[in-house]
Parts: sequence; C-alpha cells; structure tokens
Amino acid sequence: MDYIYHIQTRVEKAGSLIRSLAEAADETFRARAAIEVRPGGLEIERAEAEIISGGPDPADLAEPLARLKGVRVGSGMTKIVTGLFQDSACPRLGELFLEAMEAVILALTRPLLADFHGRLGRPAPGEDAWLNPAVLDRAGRAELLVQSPRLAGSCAAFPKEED
Amino acid sequence: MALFTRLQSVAVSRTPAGYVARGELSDHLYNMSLKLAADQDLVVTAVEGRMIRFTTDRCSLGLAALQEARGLKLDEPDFESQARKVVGRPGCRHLAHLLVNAARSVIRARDLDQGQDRGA
Repeated sequence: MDYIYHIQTRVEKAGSLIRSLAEAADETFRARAAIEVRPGGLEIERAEAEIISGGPDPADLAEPLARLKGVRVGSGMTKIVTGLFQDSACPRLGELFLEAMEAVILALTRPLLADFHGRLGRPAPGEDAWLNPAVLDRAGRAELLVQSPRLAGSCAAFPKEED
Repeated sequence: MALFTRLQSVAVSRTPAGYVARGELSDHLYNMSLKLAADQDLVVTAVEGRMIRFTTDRCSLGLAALQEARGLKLDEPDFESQARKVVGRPGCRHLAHLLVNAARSVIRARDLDQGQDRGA
C-alpha cells in the first residue's frame, strides 16, 4: 500500500453543548478539529484546531478559527467553511471541520431514526439489513418531517419525489 | 457516551496503469465501501461500490450513479462538486463523500510520488 488516510469523528455531549471532534492522519499530515455547538440553532460556539504535523503555523489559523464562531451547522456550511480555510494555507483543516459539522447532523438524526424504528416494532438494524425501514412508511415520513423539518429532502428521511 | 462516531479510511496503491483506491466508511448509521481506479492522468477508469448498511431505498441508487464518475479527472477543480452532483443527489451523499475522499487520497498519493509538500 502506497498511501493510507484515516479520518475519525466522534460526537458527544459537553454540558449543554454538543462537541464534535474530527481527527485525520496520513504519512505527512496529522490534525484535529473540534467544534462545540448549541442544540437548537446549531451555531458554533467554539472552534479549536491542533495540527500535530504537516500544517502551517498555528498563528495562520487564528482568523479562520475566530470566524467559525457563529457559523451554523446546516445548509450552506460547505461553502462557508471551504471559503474560510481556502486562504488560510490549510484547506485540509477546513475539510476536517466539515467532517465534524456533518457528524453533528448525523448525531441528531440517529435518535430520530431509532425512535421511529422502535415505535413501528421493526427489528433492530444489523449487518446487511435496512437500518430504517420505518422511513419507507408514508405516515412515518410525514410525522418525521413535522418533528424535524430540516430532514426535508434528506436521504436520511425519504426520497425527494415523495416530499 | 458517544452520540455518534464515524470512521473513514482510504488506501491507495500504485499500479502499472495508475492508481487504485479502496475506501470504507462506517458509522452508527451507514457502512459502505468503494474501489476507484484512475489512470496516470488521474482520469477515473473504473469505480464500484458496496452499500452494507443504509437508511432508505434511495441510498443504493448511488451504486449505479457511481458510474457517472467514470471519465472525470480527479484533480479538476470541479471534480468534488461534480461527484456530489452525479452520485450524491440521485443516490447517496455519503457514498459521494467517500468518493471525494478517495479522490483526494489519490491526488495526495500522486503528490507524494512526485515529492510535493502536501502539508498545507
């Protein structure tokens, strides 16, 4: 094998906030990006980064890190974060922050899907199984959308043509 | 306790024809893998995927949509937006994301071959 790249993402509660940490490593680059967001609005309250090897001087990252505060996890985040880090000499750190932000969305989606799964009495998801047959149920989709409008058009919820 | 965890890995091998990347994404909701082949000019020559765990019947449409990536050049500025458009929109955006990370890894493997500084 000539090149191997790993990314690990973890989301957990941090008091009243949600903390998401993304770590990446390859042969020459190793870094961590962490955000803390407030549930509800999902604005970033705190953003931290550590470049362990292969990145620019941390001082070069001060501005984009400061500008991450207030950015909302949701639609439009890719363009905003990519733009912030494109000029910072470390676009790979922007990629990591986007991994952390995406994980927040999935962390919030996970219990919704599990809840619908359980309420419809479906078997627990497993290897080579549909995780969420509940969303194939029209009534289930409608209720899910009422509870979580942000899932509209999301593949986590249902096919777009049936919104 | 973790609310959510995701692991992604991409391994790239140099071949006589170019590069082969194998990627896997596994998290609390999804598990999928793909294999991508590119020639010396980083043009995608073959790509195939496997959806192991997913959420809707729409997800697996991404497997067929992967074929739309054939012929794309990995280091073109719009590759990532094209990949997300042709694989993510009609099928699975997580599979499209894995494709993007595979593409980035092939480019970095090529740069490593060429001795370029890839730190930034």
